[in-house]
Amino acid sequence: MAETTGRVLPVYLVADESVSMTPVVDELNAGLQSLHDALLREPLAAAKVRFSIIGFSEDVIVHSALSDLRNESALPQLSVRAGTAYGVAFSLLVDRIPADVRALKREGFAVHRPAVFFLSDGQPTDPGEWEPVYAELTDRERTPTAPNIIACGIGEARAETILHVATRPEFAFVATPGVEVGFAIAEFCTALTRSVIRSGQAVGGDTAELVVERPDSFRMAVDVV
Amino acid sequence: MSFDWAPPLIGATGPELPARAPQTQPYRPDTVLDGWATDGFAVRAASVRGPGHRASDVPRQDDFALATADGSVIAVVADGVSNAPLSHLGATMVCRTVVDYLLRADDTVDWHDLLRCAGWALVEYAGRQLGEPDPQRAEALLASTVVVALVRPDGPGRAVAHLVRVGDSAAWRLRDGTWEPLLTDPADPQDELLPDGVAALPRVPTEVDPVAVTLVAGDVLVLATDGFAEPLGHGTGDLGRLFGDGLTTPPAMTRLAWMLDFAGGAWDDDRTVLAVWPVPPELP
Repeated sequence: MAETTGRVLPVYLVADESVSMTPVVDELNAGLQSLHDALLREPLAAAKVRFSIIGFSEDVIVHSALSDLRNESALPQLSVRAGTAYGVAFSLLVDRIPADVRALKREGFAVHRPAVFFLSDGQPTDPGEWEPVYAELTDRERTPTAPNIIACGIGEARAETILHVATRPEFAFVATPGVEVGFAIAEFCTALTRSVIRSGQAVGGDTAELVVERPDSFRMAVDVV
Repeated sequence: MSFDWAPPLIGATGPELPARAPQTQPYRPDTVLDGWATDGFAVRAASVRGPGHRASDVPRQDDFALATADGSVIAVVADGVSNAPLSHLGATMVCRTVVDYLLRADDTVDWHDLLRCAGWALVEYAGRQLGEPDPQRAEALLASTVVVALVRPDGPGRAVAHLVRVGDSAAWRLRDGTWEPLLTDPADPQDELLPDGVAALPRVPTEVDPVAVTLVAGDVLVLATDGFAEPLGHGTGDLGRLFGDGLTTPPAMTRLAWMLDFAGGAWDDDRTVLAVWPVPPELP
């Protein structure tokens, strides 16, 4: 292993571009612009993030491949097309994420587990097809670089579908009925920005036990630090 | 007399940002230094707030502590977990609790009990703030890694060090400019990705086996947090050469702090280095 040159977090925004997104696509584009502006104001955080924008409908389009946003003058614009096929988006990620991680490691980076921010406003139009692809993407045995998926549902997206897509229940967000969809998009973009900028370490550890009882030999060494 | 105070540059030039005042009580300085000598050892240590925390109101979350008793040196380095908001206090409490425990310990140290006590210090401190002990809340607020070395004399100019750790803080024997890692990494080097989280107190491994290492004159025992260990890598790059040369003999304390304030690349974490030299009696 060569010297590492730093840590990076690969982030993929996977956005629904179905026709029903038409009323909110401008707000989504504006949210991405503010994410870009926020990262340019935080160069130390931006140095640790690589960002890709992917849109899906009945097919999938890579609007921007994984890149350092400090080097991009503007972000691509999302648009709308027909269909909401989740499977094509997950299938693309199955190929792309391992290749991207390999490329970053060749450049000498140590790579955090990738994060996918998934946004949809509708039910999948490919039921029965997307689930096996999703299973392959998120199975850490088959896909060692399996991402954490943060899923956000707005409009017609059902809570149980969004919960299925999110890799942990606390990674699932569904807009409250009655809430303006544009508002939900703004919230999503704010959460995305915050997560990308604060990609700090998580507390964890599976082989260690929490100390839950006071050891007999314990003595408080300091009252005030 | 002139000296270029620009920090040493490791790798590519990174963004240069002014340091902002940390938003915390009690007072937490940017940099702490220490160093002294006993009949058998010399020690130096520095802990420096990283560029990322300087740019964003966050205090230095690393800390260290040093002590000597019965001719031995007690050395502790801790790194507060970044998403635990009071982990800088956690790091300090862990360091001081470990020193207090080892100053009271017999010749035979119960290393598991030592780490449990260091973890309990966090639970008890959080309990005082919250009204009752709550290990989960203590972890969320105060979690900290730790690496401990107890270095005992073993004849003139020789020593034996016993080391334990929780988390990704690291230790090496620096011999003739070569960095020999003393604690094996819990992460599989074949892994494609960084581990999802870091082990930290108040979690304690179920099994704690200290690593024993012999030091002879010319060797340096080095403890450090990941803010130094990651850019160091295998020690064959610029940072390894800078510190390999700079720690050949105990440097001026301010020189250690200057080296540790290295800039460059995406290295923005707090960094702490603590070094122990066995000193033969004929040397001053």
